[in-house]
Amino acid sequence: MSVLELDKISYTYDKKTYVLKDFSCKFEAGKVYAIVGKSGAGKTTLLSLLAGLDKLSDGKILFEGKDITKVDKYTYRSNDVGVVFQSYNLLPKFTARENVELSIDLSKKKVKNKKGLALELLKKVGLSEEEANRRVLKISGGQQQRVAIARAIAYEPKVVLADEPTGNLDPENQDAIMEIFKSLAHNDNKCVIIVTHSQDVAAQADEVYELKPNKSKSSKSKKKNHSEDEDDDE
Amino acid sequence: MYIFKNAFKNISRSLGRNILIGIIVTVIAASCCVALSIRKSSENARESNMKNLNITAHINVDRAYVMEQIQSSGVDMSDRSAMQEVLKEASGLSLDQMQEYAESEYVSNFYYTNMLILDGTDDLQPIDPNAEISSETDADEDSEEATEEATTEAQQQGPGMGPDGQQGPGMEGQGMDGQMQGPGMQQQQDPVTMMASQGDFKLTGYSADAAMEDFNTGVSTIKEGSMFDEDTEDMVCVISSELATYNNVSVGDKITLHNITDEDETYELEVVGIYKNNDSSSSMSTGNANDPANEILTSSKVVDSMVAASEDYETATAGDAEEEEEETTTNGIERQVLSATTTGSYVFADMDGYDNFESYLKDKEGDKYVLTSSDVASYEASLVPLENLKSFATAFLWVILAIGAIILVVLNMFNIRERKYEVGVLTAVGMHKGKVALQFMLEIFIVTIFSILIGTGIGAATSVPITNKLLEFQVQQQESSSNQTQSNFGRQQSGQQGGQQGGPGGQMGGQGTFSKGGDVTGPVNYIDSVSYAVDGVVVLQMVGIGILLSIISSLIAIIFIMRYQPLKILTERD
Repeated sequence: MSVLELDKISYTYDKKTYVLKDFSCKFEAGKVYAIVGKSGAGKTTLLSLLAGLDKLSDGKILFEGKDITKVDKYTYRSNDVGVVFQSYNLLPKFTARENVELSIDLSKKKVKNKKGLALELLKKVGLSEEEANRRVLKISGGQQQRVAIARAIAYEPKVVLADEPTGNLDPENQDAIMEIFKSLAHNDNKCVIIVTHSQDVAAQADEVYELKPNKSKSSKSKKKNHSEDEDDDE
Repeated sequence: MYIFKNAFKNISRSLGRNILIGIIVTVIAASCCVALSIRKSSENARESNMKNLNITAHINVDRAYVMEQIQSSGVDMSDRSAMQEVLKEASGLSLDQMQEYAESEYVSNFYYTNMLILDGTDDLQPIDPNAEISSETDADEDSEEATEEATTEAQQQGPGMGPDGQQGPGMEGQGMDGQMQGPGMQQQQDPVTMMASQGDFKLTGYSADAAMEDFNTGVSTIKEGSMFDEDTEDMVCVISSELATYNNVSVGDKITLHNITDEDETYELEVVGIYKNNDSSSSMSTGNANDPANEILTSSKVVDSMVAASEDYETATAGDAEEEEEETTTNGIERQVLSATTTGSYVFADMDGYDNFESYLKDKEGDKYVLTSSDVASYEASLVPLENLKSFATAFLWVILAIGAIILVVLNMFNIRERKYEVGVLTAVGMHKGKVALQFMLEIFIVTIFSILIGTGIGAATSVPITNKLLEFQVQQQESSSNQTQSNFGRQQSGQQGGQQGGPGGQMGGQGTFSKGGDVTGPVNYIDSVSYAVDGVVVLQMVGIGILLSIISSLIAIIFIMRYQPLKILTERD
């Protein structure tokens, strides 16, 4: 059963030009999905819609069968999906650990030792305790990206959304981050959806959806490893 | 719980900004605290002094009302004698009536003074500052003429006529001024004649020790001998040290006074005490009897007995009326019996008693009589600087609050705009906007309350000296204004000249006086310091101000936060 299902979703800024038009697809747990496409194809918009940060013009997004427009979007974001933003969006006055702890605080997850869990997660993504206790502005871009991932998975959401997670990283860090995502999907049974324009990242995904901007009223999904359908032109 | 934790973290990690807000709030709080404490001090001073205020009041005829009645009754206003008749009828209360009112439940004490104007014999001469001028400028013969003229005037006015305003020990400033008794008459007299016409001595009888206000307040003190017993009927008296020295009188000596219209009607009093008047205002007096040094004090019963004796003397000498008439014709003097001017004083335990009695009096007598008290007027006058300061403090408080609120709103507006990104991140990761707003409010609240407490502490420590300094300035201004009037006009301000305005009441049947208002009779003792200012009420008010300022300044934060869309913020940031 799919964790997340898009049912003919459309999005337009001005009711004339559609960024997405009647786009449908399904995302399952235990897989890494890559959404690729050129600039302006609507990749980030799609991610925002999946995260409940923007409103659909038409269609439905179903999380575990429930329309996300019918549930509290804050609860949805703080419990059901974890978002890794392109520019990390960490709280600059907080330390890496405090950023992770905050996401645990916001969720319904009952944790006795939040500090311990935060440190453990940060260690899992490659940050030492000393680095974990630094303010986020005092650590590198790669480390900030890891903090953002740790924050997104701290409350064990079923879906992890990542917007260009490797965009600002060197190839070494890029591979390390991808390993984390693959581990989350394959070992922790999370549904990981990565928006990227990197072919290397897409190559490591289990499935790839390509959005084409030149067909403004259509989108295209492309299966790679675990595909059931070939193309899905609309 | 995490909201509190995050709020404290944000405060500690944005110290610069919060210290700036804190300093501003502290200054506002200290200013508000001083302003509130001034208001509180004023209220405290009013309440506490009002509680301790022993109010002495008098029932007087409302002159304006009487004049209105005369006009409406159709009396020919050009006929002064007809008006005099009406005025005589509108006299003050008799002693019996006064005592009847004294039975009221609102009155805590009642006493009265009765007063006679008498002349001295050759052995007892009044202190007369003008005597030197007279002796230098006039021959003895002229002086005698002047005395004779004076006696003639006394005949017109009657022996019981009171002094022209100047009060003696214990007397309140009241009475009818000169206008009421025929203005033209006095204007035609030369000053020496006018003074002599009032007699040499004022004999004041007191019904109770409480009536002797100057002795109770320490203005006058017994220097030799002792005070006569309360309610004594013995022919004893107490005289001033100046008079004793001037006439070489000692305690135990006897002095003789006589009716100013009849030298043969004499009264002998034994001097049992000599007092010293510490008030040096006697030089301002006009007329011998008006000079406090020439005032002779005794019991009211002694005065009563003298009045009774005068009536007996009149009866006894009635047989010789024909002969006397001849004598009168010869000297131009018509003999009159002694008639005392009685002034009743009602004492009230507090303002409520005074107010209730005032209503009671109005119910009984209508508008004819008014209750007047120099104590209330004096007390109100003493509060003027503090009341002025209170008004200033109230205005200052509102200005500070308005400016403070505007500054805080602007600061917080910039603060929220600066933290827009934080709002975007928090809402993007799933924090409700309401909780974000609550956290921001909490931060503002913590900083504000903390600063308010520091400001209140500073205000509490400085409010008393600041209040006293401002009060000193106010008192100086008030006194300066009063002194200006005094130096320019030679008299005190209208609200402070009851004593000078008061006139003789004796002509009106010797009972009661005319006056329109309980004016302040002497220099006003302004409240010029406060001992404490900040109490629990002020602290609570300060906390209230803190909450109010927090809410006002937070409102802008809430509005901004509610309007923000996380995606828009984060996109703009990217």
